[in-house]
Amino acid sequence: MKKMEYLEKLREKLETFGKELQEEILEDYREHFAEGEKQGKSEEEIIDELGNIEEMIQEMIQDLPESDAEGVSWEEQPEKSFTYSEAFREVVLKGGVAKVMVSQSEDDQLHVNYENNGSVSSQLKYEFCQRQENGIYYAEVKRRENVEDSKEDGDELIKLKLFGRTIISYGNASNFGKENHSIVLTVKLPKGMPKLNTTVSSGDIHVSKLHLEEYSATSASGDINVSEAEIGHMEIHTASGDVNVNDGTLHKGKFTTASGNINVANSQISAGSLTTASGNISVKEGSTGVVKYATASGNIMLNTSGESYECGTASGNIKIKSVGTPQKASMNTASGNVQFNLENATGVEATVKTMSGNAKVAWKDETRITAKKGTFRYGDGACKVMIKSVSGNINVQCV
Amino acid sequence: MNTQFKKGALEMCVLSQLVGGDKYGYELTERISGEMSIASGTLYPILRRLKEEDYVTTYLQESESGPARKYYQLTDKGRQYQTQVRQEWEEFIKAVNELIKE
Repeated sequence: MKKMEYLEKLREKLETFGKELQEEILEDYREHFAEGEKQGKSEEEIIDELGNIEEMIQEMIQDLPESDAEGVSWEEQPEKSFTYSEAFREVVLKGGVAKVMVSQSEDDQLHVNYENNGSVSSQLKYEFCQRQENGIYYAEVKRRENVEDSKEDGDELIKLKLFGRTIISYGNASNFGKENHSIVLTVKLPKGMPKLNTTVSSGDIHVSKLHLEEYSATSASGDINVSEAEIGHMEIHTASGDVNVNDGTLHKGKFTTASGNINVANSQISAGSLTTASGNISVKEGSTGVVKYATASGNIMLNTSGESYECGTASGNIKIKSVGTPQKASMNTASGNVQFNLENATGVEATVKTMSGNAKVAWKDETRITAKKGTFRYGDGACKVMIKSVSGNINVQCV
Repeated sequence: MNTQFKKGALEMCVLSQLVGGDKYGYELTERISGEMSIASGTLYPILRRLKEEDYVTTYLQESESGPARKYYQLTDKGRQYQTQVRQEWEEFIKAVNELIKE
């Protein structure tokens, strides 16, 4: 194709853009030919250099439709691993939507592994960052700042921005929540690491087989699971996430949730407090020291050998099955019912008081009493029980 | 390559080429097509758009031989934009490198 033919085709193609623009681009091309010829290039060479007219026309069409991004291939290394031999005094992990898994390292090194096996959208949206400062190791799964969610015609899209304009837009963002567990941050702590701090939003936390002086965890909707851990001081806060502690030894535990449940199984808690607004509290098969339990509407269900129980609810029920002889048990509720079962206790001194409910106290198969209030002493009277309710029923049974 | 992506990148290359001094169309396209395989023609609509957005201005200057050349010159606005876009680009590249390397 020769110059005149090429320019004629260009003129045709530019027709839709209006006379002025057509002439402007044509002039640019003419100048390009003139300069090329001056350099001694042939018409064919220059045409080849200027390239496909269609391609240039595409460039002229501004603000290409978003669907144009369909050809994206985002090549990503879905996995990153790091090992550190420094002696950190604390490890701080911010998982965000990622699942965070922490366990003990086989050696004296800190091992960190980040894996994002999610869809293109999850790989676009999240990145892994880490740093060290004052002997503290920080790792974070962050949302990229130049990525945003948007809704177009009811479709949810995520957009990656550059130069203030969208360069990649990707659909099916709505599917994202379902696959967020494909982002996993796995950390193995060196022996003797004293402090751990983990935070997530929707991701879950799994901590297992650890010995720590201090552990604190925070989550919005993600669950926090701690198993086979020995922890000096453990503090957990969640909004809707559950707290699950299994086979743990906690010297001091403080758990707070808004609507999440607190479940402790086969563990030993020497001291602490378990508090929730609407979640339930369940402690079973283990031993508890001096522990406080409080809920608003949630139920409290304890089945342990405890040293001292202090329970309070507004409308939630309290159900305790205690093995052995606790020193003290005090329970307060407004409308909730209280069921307190003592197994193999050497004696009890129970003070009960209810406004409109019923109170029953039974000692072995010997005595059954029904009253609104009163103090009843059996055996050696070792366990001091104090139960108060407004409208809830009270039932104390010793077997 | 993603079209939008390429467009942004090319735009930045063009602007950056003008930081060191004014250039005429052919000179500019030669420089860029010397580094990457693109159809030189596609740069003209980009130049036109940059002009429309007041990032560049043009003026004609007679050449020793042949017709006048259309020179492109960076405006203050264009210069600021180039600095900003370049920074964004570098951050972006850093992020991409981080993602694609082990």
